[in-house]
Amino acid sequence: MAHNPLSSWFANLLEIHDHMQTLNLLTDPDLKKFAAQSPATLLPSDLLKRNLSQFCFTQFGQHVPDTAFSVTTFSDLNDVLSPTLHLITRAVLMGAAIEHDQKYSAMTQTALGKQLSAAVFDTAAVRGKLFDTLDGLLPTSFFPTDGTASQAFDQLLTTANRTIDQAIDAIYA
Amino acid sequence: MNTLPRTVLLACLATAALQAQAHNCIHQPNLDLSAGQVKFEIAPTFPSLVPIQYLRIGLGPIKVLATNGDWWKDIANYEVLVDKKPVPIGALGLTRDEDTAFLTFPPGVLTNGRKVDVRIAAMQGTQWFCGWQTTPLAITGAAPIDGSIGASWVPQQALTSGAKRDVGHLDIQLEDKSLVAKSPARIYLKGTGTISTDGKDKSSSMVGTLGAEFAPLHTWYLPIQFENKVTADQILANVSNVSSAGMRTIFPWRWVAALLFNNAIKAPQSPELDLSAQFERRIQQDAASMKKFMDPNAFRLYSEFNWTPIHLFTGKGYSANDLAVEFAGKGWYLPHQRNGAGRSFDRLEGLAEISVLFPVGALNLPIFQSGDKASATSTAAKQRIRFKYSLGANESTGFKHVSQLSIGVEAVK
Repeated sequence: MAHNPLSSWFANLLEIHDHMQTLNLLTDPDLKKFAAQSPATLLPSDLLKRNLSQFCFTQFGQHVPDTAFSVTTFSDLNDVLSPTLHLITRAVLMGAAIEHDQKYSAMTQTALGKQLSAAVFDTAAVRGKLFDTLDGLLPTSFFPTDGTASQAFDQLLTTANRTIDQAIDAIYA
Repeated sequence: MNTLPRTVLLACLATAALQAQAHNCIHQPNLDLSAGQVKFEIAPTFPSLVPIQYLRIGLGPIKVLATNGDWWKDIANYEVLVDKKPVPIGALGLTRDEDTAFLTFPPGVLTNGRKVDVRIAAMQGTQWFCGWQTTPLAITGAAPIDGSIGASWVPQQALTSGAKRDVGHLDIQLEDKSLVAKSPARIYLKGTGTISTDGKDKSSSMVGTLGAEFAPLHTWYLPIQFENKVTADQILANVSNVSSAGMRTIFPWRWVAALLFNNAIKAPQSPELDLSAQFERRIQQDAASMKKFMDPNAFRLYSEFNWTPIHLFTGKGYSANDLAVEFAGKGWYLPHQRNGAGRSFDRLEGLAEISVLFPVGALNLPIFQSGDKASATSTAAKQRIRFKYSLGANESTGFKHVSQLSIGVEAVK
């Protein structure tokens, strides 16, 4: 397969980010800060909204319903257009979990999300491998890898009573 | 339904074949379509702007896991049940990354209140595996026609006879946003009316509009609109037909960043430009209208320009408390006008408006406060004083020229 949906999610966000800099100069140049900006603020008129809709349609073959603009952030908007970042990330974690232990293949993704992350990723080796996988899929502004990032990630997964769904939220917090 | 972009080989899937596959497949948890992965939506297509109704299927999470078993390339089958009965799929479209699928259906399949189940199937080796939604999706917001009707009572309404009296109004609005499903342009029909209990009511009106719009440029959104509007009062004493053509757009704005987005001036968005041409044919006129409009035909070109907001002397920041200016301009070209002496002339008119907005948050005027007194300080809206200077022709007064300075206080939410 040519691409992973997780990297594709960020590739789409990156292109939207680039186009938004053509539409509104208040668009933050930093991708992560842009992801937290409000579509209502940066796209205050119907002309601006439709311009972005057409861009998404011609660039990604993506349909943009008018309701997509009534979300809080551009990250949410991208979640409306693509399968959500949370769901795709959970699928990546599930892939890693299955590779680590085949018993997880019988589980639905929803059920895996409720498992404790420390129990599923129970060795330093599997956590390290997952770190490398995410490093390959996520932009550095969302997933810093310098300094003590790998230790912080390890700690994030091993925090007591933290479910996989909660761990995913912590990754993007 | 309009043709979807990147529609691939899977159009017009045979439901019977899918049923057979679904019946023989093994449920695979990883093909689960969790909550949020199947949505019903309506969105415009480009360049026609014709809205289409579709089911959005988010395949990303499935694809991530499919990499392990290489199933993805064979996820080729969808079965859709509406109220538990299989329905034929009109077309399947995919996004560029193939992480999202769009299923469209013949008209009348996805209507309000119906419950939709989506199943997908994928082959691994010679065995079919399948997955489905955990809960059916209820369709809402699918009505193709918007409408409203309301009654009101109006005291002392002015009549064409010059008298005034209390009248009742019935206000009707009806809109079909897309008359034709497969069309190179969105064709729409709108009707609005105010029917009065007194036929001489000056405010009675009936307006029927048939229009078409599309956005022909692939690279930039530039909608072009053609419209024909028939307006009349309710006793048909005045009937006119207005045909118009126009376009609206904004400009790519990144290239002006150095010039118009710096510490001295910040204009983050492009101005909006509107150009249109109108031809009006007065089909029926009463005496009062004849006096005002001697020529039954009128042609005009119209342009409008709005540029807002422009913040000044902001330094590095940008906020609602900045000093700001706004520009608005209008222009008219009306050929073959006649003056009082009956002489024909071409008229070119313009109106320019500039507003300067001073932030005055410290005033904290009670009128802009909301909530109880205790929280008034924290919930007070920011305020600003607007100095507005207008120079040029006023359309509503027959293009009389004005030069006017107005001052107002307004809240900034």
